[in-house]
Formats: sequence, structure tokens, C-alpha cells
Amino acid sequence: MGEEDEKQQVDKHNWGSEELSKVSDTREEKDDLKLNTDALGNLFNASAPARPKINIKKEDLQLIMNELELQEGTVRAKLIETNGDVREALRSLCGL
Amino acid sequence: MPTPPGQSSSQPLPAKELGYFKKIVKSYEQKQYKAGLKFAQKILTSPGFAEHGETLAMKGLILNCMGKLQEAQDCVRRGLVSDLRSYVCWHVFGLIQKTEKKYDEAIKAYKRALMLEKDNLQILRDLSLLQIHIRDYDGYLSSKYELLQLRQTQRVSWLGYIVAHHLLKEHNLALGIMAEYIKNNTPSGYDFEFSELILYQNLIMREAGLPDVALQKLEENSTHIVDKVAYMETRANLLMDLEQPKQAENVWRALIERNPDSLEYYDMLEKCMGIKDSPKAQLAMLDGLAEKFKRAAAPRRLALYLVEGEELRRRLHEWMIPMLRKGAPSLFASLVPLYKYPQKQAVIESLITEYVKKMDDEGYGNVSLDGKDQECEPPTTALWLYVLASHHFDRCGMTQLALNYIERAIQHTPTVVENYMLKARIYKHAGDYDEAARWMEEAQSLDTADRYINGKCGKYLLRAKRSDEANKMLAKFTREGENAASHLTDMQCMWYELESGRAFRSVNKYGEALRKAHHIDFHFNTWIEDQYDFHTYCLRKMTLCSYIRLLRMCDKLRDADYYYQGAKLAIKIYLRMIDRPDDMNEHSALIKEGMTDQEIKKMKKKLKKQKELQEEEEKKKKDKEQKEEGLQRGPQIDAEALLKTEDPLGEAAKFCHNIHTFGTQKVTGYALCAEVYRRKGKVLLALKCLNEGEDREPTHPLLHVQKVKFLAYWPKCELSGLVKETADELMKCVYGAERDAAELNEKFKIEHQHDFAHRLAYAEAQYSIDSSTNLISWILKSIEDSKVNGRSLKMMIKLKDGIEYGKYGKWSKDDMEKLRKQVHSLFPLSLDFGGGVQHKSASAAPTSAETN
Repeated sequence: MGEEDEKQQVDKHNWGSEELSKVSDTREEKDDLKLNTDALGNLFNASAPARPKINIKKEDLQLIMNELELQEGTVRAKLIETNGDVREALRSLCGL
Repeated sequence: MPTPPGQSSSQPLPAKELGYFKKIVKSYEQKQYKAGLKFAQKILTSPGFAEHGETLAMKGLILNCMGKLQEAQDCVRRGLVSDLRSYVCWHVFGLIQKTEKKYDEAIKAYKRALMLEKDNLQILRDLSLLQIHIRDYDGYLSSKYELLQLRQTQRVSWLGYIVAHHLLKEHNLALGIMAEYIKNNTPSGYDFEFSELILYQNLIMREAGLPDVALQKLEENSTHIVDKVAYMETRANLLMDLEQPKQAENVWRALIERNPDSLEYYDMLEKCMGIKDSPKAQLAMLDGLAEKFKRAAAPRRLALYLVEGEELRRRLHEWMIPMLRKGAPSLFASLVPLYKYPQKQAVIESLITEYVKKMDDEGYGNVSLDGKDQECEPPTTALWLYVLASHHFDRCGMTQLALNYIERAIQHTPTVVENYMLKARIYKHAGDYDEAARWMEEAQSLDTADRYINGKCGKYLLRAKRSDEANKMLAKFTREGENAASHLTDMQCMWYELESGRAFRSVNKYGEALRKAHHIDFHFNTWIEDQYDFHTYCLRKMTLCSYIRLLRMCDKLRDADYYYQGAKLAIKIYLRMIDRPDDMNEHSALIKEGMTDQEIKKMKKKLKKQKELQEEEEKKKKDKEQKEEGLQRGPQIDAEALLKTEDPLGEAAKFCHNIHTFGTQKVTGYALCAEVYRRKGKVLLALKCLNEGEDREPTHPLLHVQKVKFLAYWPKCELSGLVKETADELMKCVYGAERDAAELNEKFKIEHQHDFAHRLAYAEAQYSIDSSTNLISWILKSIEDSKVNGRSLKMMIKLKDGIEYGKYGKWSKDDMEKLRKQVHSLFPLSLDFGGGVQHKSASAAPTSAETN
């Protein structure tokens, strides 16, 4: 009964939406990989996601956010890129 | 062991209710929302469970999927308050925050849920999706790491983890994991997904700066690659990177063999052959290929752009005759690049007039345009020749000739829709928007089943400021029983939003115009939102190269022309709010000094009208609400509210951010942003935009105006420290050693005295630094000065709008009349300057003074 209601909504103007809804289906993913467990263990040991820590000063962050009207994430990413060098980050964001 | 939903709660359910709860979850997963709600109701009406947290959460989730957003929010919040220790409640709270686009909040909620229920796959997946969605690559990597450890045999776990490393530019890690994956899972035969994977591996290698390895792997796996074109293109590019132009050339030639009409291949071929600077060699190459591929248009067309004089004439002749015989609609479009050069334009014109003369002399029943006696032209050749001639003279601004030719074409075959469209277009270019719309309606009436012509007609009506009629016209192709405007907004129809916004602006309805501009912004948001589903879909389907392209495209989606046009519309209105606040009253133009009695009458009328309109709108709204039962669709933006903003500069700056951030090539965009940021006191941003503009086109008139205005403002800036240092550096880039605004402007005037647009820029800049300037007679003289280039109708309209805005000082009525007369003599059809076609019957033929 619920299904019928759903179907009625899919009129000729909305035929595409039915196709589209398949995109967001949560089907169970394929589960058939063959893997060498030793190699796997090595990979995990080698590449545990440890990110380098870069010290970012709050006032640097604030300065650039305010001067260039940017979001924190953008500025933070740029400061990480410049290893926390505020001058370089500001110049780069100004296109210099 | 994972805890199933319903048992994680601090409010445990008895067996019967637990059964219902499981059914809710199942109904939700199968998208049977109404059934789900019924089961939820059963639990919530059982004694003691009216505030059962997880049930409320599930109910909210279902309501959310049904579009009842507000109700859903309330439900989920209530659920969370009742049961703060349930991971289900936190998870659902996160999902709801996500639909509200509060991503940071959603991520926090997911993390809370994961603290309560470690290793929950679904929550980890949802978390990772949001992390990639907001481009938190670090977070994405660690979520994908967790997922991979939990599900080591699942493809998507691996792919997600590889993608995460790739996006973090950790190419070696990505490639190492990829290699391990490929080693153990190479299929024996045809496998599309594996083919995609190989191409993705190659993409990473190229981005890692390893073209040699990439090429080697590509060759090794060549039999696995299904997409042969992608294989060949990648190979050719790699060979070029590795400086093996000879081999690359062979691959491009093989690609041309597959598709001899891809312009890109010819471009690459020229690069490989090292003949970019030698038109002669290019021509030889193109002629060789034209000989080989008899039916290919590209080599013949590209050759047209390389030659001049007699040679051009000969080639044009060979190019045009078959297309005239066939009636190829693209003929004129293929000639457009030649119009940049007056001499090439003249060659086209001489050919066309020669054909026409021949046609006239010999009669189109027995003429042969290429002089071969045995053949005579089909009767339609004459028709397409007249159409081409009309296009040509329209392009050259010779309106009367263009009209004559299109008239001949219509006489020849009165049933061709395109003829009337072209006629309308000629009137549009000549500035008579009413006549243009009239002819477009005529064209439309000849083929009422064609959506394209219907859209064109709507557009032309909007240009003629007839919004209501345009909507009626467009409604022929929109959903029945619904307002055309709101349907077109649903359909994300951008040209409509833009044209409609401009039409509102032209009748001083700035609120409505702003609303349309915000719709465009809304559509872009929707598209960025739409990528969400592809984070799972692309990994599952293994279309990883396309996925990476999608992510990168979304990152700079707003660098699109429609966005720019919409933003420009909005920003200019926000600036007008500050400069001319009285304009925001749409009836302000009607109320003039010294009309007290009439003024009162008009005010009364106006108020009455407004009231009626408001009532009507409210009624409509109510009807709509009843129809949709609280379901909200599309952007809910109120025009009046937009006009009442406290911070127009801030609103404008939001649009500016999206114009200059993605490195657009539009110099006018940087100029507009510089204006906003200067007013806002954001010195670095203003300078950044000026500098970017300087890199693109340093002599652009609009950029110049901004440079002068900023230089005049510069001494007033009080900066210090790092900001000052950076600003000084930018100043040097933009101005060199020049620090005097007036001097800069005088230099510009001398250097560009033969360009009308530059003259206007000089004048605007001069008025901005010295309000006592008087350049009115100089401007008027410029209009008539045949030594001044670029005196187009478009520029004249800009001048007129600029005068009304106050950019060029105070113009008296006499001055305006002089302007009108002068421009009228140049562009007699322009409505803006009192021209246009007069119809005997129509007594209400509009004159410029009233319509503007």
C-alpha cells in the first residue's frame, strides 16, 4: 500500500527521479577480494595515518581570515602548506 | 559485537514494541515511509513510550525523507533529549543536521555516535561521506582507514583508502596500496571495472610526476583497457611529457583517424610537430589531412583561419558553396572567428555580394555558383545565401541591409521559422526590443510544438520588459496548473533566472531582480549538494578518474559564466542600494519634483496597488501551502526581505568571493570585486583583485576606473605590520612607481584616445576623483567622432545608464536631448534613444522617455 503511493508520485514529469534514486541506494558492496594477509599487515604497519603536526597560531589564522574574508578551513590548509609561515600564506593567498 | 538499533537504548523496549521497532527500520530501508510511520505511532502510543528516543529518531528520519523538514527536526531533537546515550539518536541527529547543511554539527554528532558505538560501519560510512564532501581529507583518510580495517575484503574500502591518500597528494602510499590490490586481483578477461582502475592508477602516477612509470604500466596493461580512446589519449600525452614527439605524433594521427573532427587532436598534433609558429607548415598538415579525410570539416575549417587575401577567398568559396547547397545552419557560425579582422571580413563580403549578383543576373533557377555549366543550383541555395548575407550585414552593424536580405529570404520561402528568428535578432541588435519580440512571436506561431523557439520567444519578451507575457508564453511548455516562473526555477533553468532578473531590474523591481540572482546562487548550491550521492556511487562503480574530475569540478563550480552573470546582477543592485537608496522604491521614477497633487494621487494609487498585490500573493501562498501540506520545495527567498538587508556590502562581498577565488579569466569580474572590497575597506582583497585583473588585461577600461579609484583611496588607508608589507608589494605589482591618480588617468586618456569605452572610463575615473570636472561636451563629441572606435549601441546604452546613475556628472535636460539625438542618428532603431519601428495602427508605440 505504501508502495502504491510511492509509484503514483512518479508521474511522467519525474521519470528521471526514479533513475536517480538508484544512485543513492545502499546496496551491500561486493565482498570478494583476494588478498595476501602478510602484505596487508605490512601496509597497515607502514602507513598508519599519522599526519605531521604543524603549529598554527590562532592570531595568524584570525588575521588572514579577517583580511581576506576566508573560511577557517581554507586558511588552515594554506598555513599547513606553508608550514605555519603566516607571511608566506598571506602572500600566496593574495596571488603573490 | 555490534549492538542492533532498538537495543542500544537506555529505554529498552519489551518484545512486542521491539518487533515494531525492527519493522520501522525495515520500512525505512525499503523507503516505505507511510508504513514506517504507522509502526512508530504504535510504539509512541503504548503507555510509557510516548517519548521513546530511538523511535522518535526513526520517525524524524522518515519524516525528513518525506520532505517534512520542520516536523522531522522537532521529532529528532525530542528523541535525542530523551535518550542521550543512544548511538541511534546521535546518528539520526547527525543525518538531520546534514540535510540542514550544518556539516560541522553533523560531523560532531556522528563522532558522538561513534564514541557510544565504536566500529559501527554505517556511521563510519556516513562520517567519511561528509568528510570528503567538505574536503576534510585528513578526516576522510582516518575514517577510510577504520573502514578498511573493519572490512578488509571489500573493494570500496580499498578504493576509498587509495582515493584518500591520492587527494592528500600522498602518491607513493596510494600507489603502493593500489599495487597490492592489483597484484592479487587481476582478472583474466574483459573487465570494465579493472580497466577503470588501471586508468586511475595511471592518473595518480602522472600526478606523482612519474610519466615514465605511467607509460610503462599503461603499455603493460594495454589489453585490459576497454576505453581505447582514453588509452590512446593518455599514451599520446605521456609520450609528449617524455619528450618523444615523433611517437606522440603517430598516436595523435591514429586518433584523428578515429575522429577527424576533434579540434583538440589537431592542436596537439601541431604541438608535437613543433609547427605552432608556422602557419605555412600548419596549412600543409591540414591540407594533407583534408585530402585524406574527404568528409571531415575540421581540417578545412581550421585552414580558413590561417590564410588571407586571394587564398582565403578561394578556400572560402570551396567551404561555403556545399554548405549553401545543403542549407547547413552552422555556416555563419564557422565564419565568426574571421570577423575579428576587417580585411577577412571584407573578403567574406565580396564573396557574398558576388554570389548575390550572380544569382540576380542569371536567375536562381539556372545559376551555378561555382561556374560549372552542367550543374545548376537547387532552389534553396538562394534562400540560404540570403540568410548568410543577412547574418553578415547584421554582424557588421548594417541593419538596413541585413533586413533587406532577410526580407528576400522570407519572400523566397515564407515558412522557414529560422528566417523570422533572424529577423527578430537583427531588431534586437539594433535596439528595438519590441519589434524583435514581435517577430519572435511570429516565428513561434509557425511552430508551436518546438521548445527551443518557445524559449527564445520568452527570452525576447523578457528583453522587451514584458515579464507577464513571457511567462504566459513559457507556460506552454511548463507543468500544467503551475506558475511558469516557479517551474523553471524547479528545473534550474538558468537563462530564465538571468533574463527574468534583468527584466525586473529594467523596470526598477530590484527586489525581484535580486531574488532571481539568489536563485542562481541557490542552484549552484544544489549542484554542489548533488555530488554527495556520488561519493558512494563512483567508488562502487569504480569510475574513479571521473570521480576525481567531479570533485575538482565541484571545487570550482562557481567559476561558471552563469554564476558570474547572476553575481554581477546582484552585486550591482547592492551597490545601487548604497549609492541610490531611493531607486529601491520601484515607483520612485514616477514621483518627480513639483508634482504635489499628482504625487499624492500616485501615492494613493501605488499603495492600493501594492495592497492588492500583497493580498493576491498571500492568497497564492496559502493555496500553495494547502496543496503541498507544508512541503517546501525550491528556494524560499523573499524579494522584500532582500531589499531590507542591513549590510548590502557584506551581501555583495559574498558573491565577490566566488568570482575572484577560482582564478576566473574575466577581467571585469576582478574590477567589480575591487569596487566592493575598496568600499568595504578590505585593502588586500581589493589589491589582490586589481593585480589579478592586471595580469589578465591591464588596459581594460573597467579595470582602469578601479585602479584610479583605488589609487585615490590609497593615502587614506591606515595599515601596519604584515598587512602593510603585503599591500605595498601588491601596490608595486599593480601601479609600478605611479602614485598619482590624476596622472594615471591622464596617461590612460592619451594612450587610448581612439576607443570609446576607454574614453568613458577616463571620464568616470575623472569624475570620481574630482567632482567639479566637466566632460559632458567632450563625451558628446566622442559620440560623433569617426576616429573613435567602438561606438556601439551597447556602449551608448551603458553611457546612458551611467549618466542616470550619476557616474558622469550632472547632465541637463538639454544635454540629454543632445545625447538622444546624436545616438538616434547613429542607431535609428534603438528604443532607448527614441527610435524603433512605428506601427500605424499601434498608437501606443513606446517612446524612450516613458519606457525608461
